[in-house]
Amino acid sequence: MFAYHLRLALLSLRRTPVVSLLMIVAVGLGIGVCMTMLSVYALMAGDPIPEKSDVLYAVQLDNWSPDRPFGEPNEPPRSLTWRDSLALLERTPAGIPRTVTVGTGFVVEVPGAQDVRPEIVTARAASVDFFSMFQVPFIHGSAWSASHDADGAPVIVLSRALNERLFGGEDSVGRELRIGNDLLRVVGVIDHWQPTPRFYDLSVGAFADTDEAFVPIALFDRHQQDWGGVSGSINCWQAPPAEGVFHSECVFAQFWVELPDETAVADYRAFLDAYVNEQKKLGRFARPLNNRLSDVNTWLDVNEVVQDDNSVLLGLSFMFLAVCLLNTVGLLLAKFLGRAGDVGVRRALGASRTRVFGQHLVEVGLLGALGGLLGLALAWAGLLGVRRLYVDYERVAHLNAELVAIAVGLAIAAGLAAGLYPAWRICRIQPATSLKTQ
Amino acid sequence: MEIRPILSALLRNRTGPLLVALQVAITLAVLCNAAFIVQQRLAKMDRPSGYDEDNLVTLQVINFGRLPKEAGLAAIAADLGALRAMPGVVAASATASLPMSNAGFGWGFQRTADANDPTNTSASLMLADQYGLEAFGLQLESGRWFTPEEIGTAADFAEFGATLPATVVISRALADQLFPDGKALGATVYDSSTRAPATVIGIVERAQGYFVNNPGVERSAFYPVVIASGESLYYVIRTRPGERAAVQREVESALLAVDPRRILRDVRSFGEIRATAYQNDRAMTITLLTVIALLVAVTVLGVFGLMSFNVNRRRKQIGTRRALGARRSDVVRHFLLEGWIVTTAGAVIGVALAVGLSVWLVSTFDLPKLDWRYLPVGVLALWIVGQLAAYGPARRAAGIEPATATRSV
Amino acid sequence: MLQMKGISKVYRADVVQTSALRDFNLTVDEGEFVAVTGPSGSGKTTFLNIAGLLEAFDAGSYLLDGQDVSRLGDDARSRIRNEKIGFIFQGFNLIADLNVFDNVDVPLRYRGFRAAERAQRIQRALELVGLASRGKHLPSQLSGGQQQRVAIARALAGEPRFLLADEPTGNLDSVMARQVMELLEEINGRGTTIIMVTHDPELARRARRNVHMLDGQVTDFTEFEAAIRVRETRAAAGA
Ligand SMILES: Nc1ncnc2c1ncn2[C@@H]1O[C@H](COP(=O)(O)OP(=O)(O)OP(=O)(O)O)[C@@H](O)[C@H]1O
Ligand SMILES: [Mg+2]
Repeated sequence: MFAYHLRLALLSLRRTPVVSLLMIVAVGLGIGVCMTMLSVYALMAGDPIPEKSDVLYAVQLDNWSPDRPFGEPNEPPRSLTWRDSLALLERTPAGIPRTVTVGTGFVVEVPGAQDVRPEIVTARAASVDFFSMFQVPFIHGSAWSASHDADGAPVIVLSRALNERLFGGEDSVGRELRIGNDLLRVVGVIDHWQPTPRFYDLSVGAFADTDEAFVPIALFDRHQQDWGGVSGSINCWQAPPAEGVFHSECVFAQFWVELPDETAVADYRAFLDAYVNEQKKLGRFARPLNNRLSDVNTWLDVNEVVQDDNSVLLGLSFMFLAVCLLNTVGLLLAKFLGRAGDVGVRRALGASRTRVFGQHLVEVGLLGALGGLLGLALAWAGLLGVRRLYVDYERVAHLNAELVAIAVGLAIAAGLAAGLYPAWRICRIQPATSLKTQ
Repeated sequence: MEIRPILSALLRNRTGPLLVALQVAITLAVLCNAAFIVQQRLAKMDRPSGYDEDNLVTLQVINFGRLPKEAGLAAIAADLGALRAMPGVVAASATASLPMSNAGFGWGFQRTADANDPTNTSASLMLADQYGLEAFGLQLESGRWFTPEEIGTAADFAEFGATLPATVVISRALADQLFPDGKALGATVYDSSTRAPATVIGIVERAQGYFVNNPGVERSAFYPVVIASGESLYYVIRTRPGERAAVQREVESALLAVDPRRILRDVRSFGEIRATAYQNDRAMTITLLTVIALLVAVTVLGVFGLMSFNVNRRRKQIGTRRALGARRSDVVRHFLLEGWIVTTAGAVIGVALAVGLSVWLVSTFDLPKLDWRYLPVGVLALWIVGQLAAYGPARRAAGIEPATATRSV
Repeated sequence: MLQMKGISKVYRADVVQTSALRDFNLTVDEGEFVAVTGPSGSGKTTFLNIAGLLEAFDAGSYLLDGQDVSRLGDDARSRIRNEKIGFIFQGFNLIADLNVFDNVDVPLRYRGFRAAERAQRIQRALELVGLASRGKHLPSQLSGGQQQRVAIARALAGEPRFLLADEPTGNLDSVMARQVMELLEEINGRGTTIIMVTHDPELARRARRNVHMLDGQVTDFTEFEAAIRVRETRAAAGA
């Protein structure tokens, strides 16, 4: 029966090519536009590290001006001062993975290599737990040893891409790089790794590339003055002293801890409160206690990674889909009722109501499927356009299997939503009336 | 002419018209709100920056390591000399950050040295040398720009923060904010964190700050300082009209000829900086315009489809009307009127929907409230496209022969 | 009143050509009641269409009220239809979406009468056909005879001088058919010229004048009967 219905549906498409095309285009456009917006939105609102997003916590302390909050209403700054970061790094109770990280940049040279030009790399200073907490994959070597965090040994971890540019992609563990006047030894090379959004440091954009090199925090601290300094946003509520931002109340460092459960979170809160209260005694932290612990997804919300524009567009695109569906319902209804006579004859010849319903549902399904295909193609083109419009979204705006599945689901749902009512209307046609009236 | 009978006929077969009216309604709601957002973004992107954008080239210099103060200042002077010697260059200046680049210093100024002075106003702080006015192409409204003697030097940012200069040039917007009474020139303003005083020696008509998405982007201030370390060093080069592209091509080799051991980055025209700054607004505008265009197209198809269907369904009826004396124009009018009624019904719902959508946008996203004038314009636009969409089927209806009344089954 | 000379009408389909009227001649005087009969396909409806200015013809001349209508433009023809001619269709052709009142109103709207005048005329026409109380009914809520009476009321509301009816009783049972016929006679009695196509010989006989058509031409009754008889004999002989 399905084959017969499918044949009837194809016949019907061919008999009214213009109306059929209109419907396919309407469904396709609706789904295409919706999918484009949804893809961008989904990737922005996506969970960058689903296995651990509920155990990784970003730390906020409120060291801001006594006169006004960092953000209304009473929002603490979104990064920490250097001194608090180092203190928390040291004092966080044993057994709790923790990391402090800050973006930087420097010029690297391969000593002795004539054919490799010195280049400026975007780099990251981090403490060693960074790699295990954020599940960074290594292809060669490993992270530096925990002692290097404190002793400032001259070691470096490279990204796969930088390793390819500097060393032609070979296992470069043990090789040396020059930064300024120092020679750094490569201890590891990480594989391609791009959490999207780049949750661990949102200060230079949620969709920035991951860094090309990683150095221990103490090494970076030693080169405050002669390397590239902090790249990212530095926020100050008072002018930094002559020794510079590293010794100021200016905030620019990210601090993360891994807490397995609620009690660990509560304990850590208490730890933070104790730390701030102690600092209050030293004359810092003039504001009331306002520490925050945000898991990854909360952190993305706090930082407004999903831009309002994208939410607005998503909302409007669903309204657009609604218009396309209303359009299709109208055309389908017109088309189906236009052949009420035919249907009356079929009914008179013994077709049951369910048969008629089924016949039209198959036709609707066919339209929905074709519209869905068109929609997928349009979404693909739409994302191409989005990538051209937003340089930042270069990596974000791609179709993946999940999104294709959503598109197919959306197409089927849309087709059914548009088709159910007309199919129901037509199957209620009385065999008698349609034969009698003119 | 005959609204009531058409209306009752429409109500008798109401599903189709209702669907189209709903389409029109949603279209109107989206149209008004989207067009309003587009207009705002266009206005935002259209704001003049105050810089001679067409003739500016900018670039960043990154040294291999930090330079000592004297060496750094000498290197900058040598670079600026080389840049000025390039054919087509009018002026060149060193600064620590670029306006509209989404990165730079937010600074607080106030009228008194009090800790809690309510006049505390945030502004974009830019560092400039004596060439800055000419190199940026700024319009000095009153007062003067910095003399060479006034230009302070600092080894790095830390030193700069500790020794703020005694003079400042501010933008008209900052002057208006700090001095609503209009007596900014010659007045003293205070840095709101160290409360160091500075005399306003000049006011520029306009100089947009770093963050174009910040409502305070028009408020900016210039301190006469050059940072020697090269931590953050940008050159701004102003060319003669028409020679920007050539200078942009040649500038790297000119600077590397002075000293090859460094990296030159982001050699850009100001147009590129502007494009990056307004990337999201531009993208939003284009996306919204696309959505509007598609939406109107789909709605036109909806009206067209409904009318075509109605015409086909009523061939005999139209023939009968013709037999009873309807002129072709009567038939056209009949269907245009029918289309108009459906569009108008949709528009009535749509106005309510548009207001509702606006309320949602305002409350959820802090967008400004929809300008009510968009509603009548939107309704008018939909009337027009609705009538255009109905015209084709109406013409086809008018072509139906009167004899159809007696012939067709 | 109506004067047709040498009218011919050819329908051209893709391949076939059908001569629906050939050298058709007929004159109808003011106040006449003419019944047109003839076998199916003989051109009766074609003749009515041309007489009622629904269709153009290919050759010949047609004077309506002394006016040559062959050269008139579409709008002028519409106006004549609207003002001088009333049409009653075999299938009633009521507009299903409009109620009885609005159906009768249709030609009056195109006539451009004021609302009060229209209401008055509609009321009078509906009274004449005995349906004054049914103004709010939809066509689907009326019997076939009632529907046809509404159609007649619609044709009469504009007080045309000339009423054309294409098998006005074709879809009705004999009782209703007689009622409609009586109504038409009454209207004719008030001076309206009527041309009625019918298959029903009994009804035809009640008209003052009978016109018989065969193969797109007018024949007299005897000729018509003879032709039938000839065919029948041939058919019998062949069988
Ligand atoms: N639109 C048309 N195209 C082609 N041929 C047509 C058309 N209309 C009518 N004819 C042909 O013209 C001839 C006359 O048709 P007409 O409708 O006038 O017959 P009629 O006398 O009214 O028949 P009936 O009594 O069955 O209604 C027929 O042979 C018919 O096939
Ligand atoms: Mg006929």
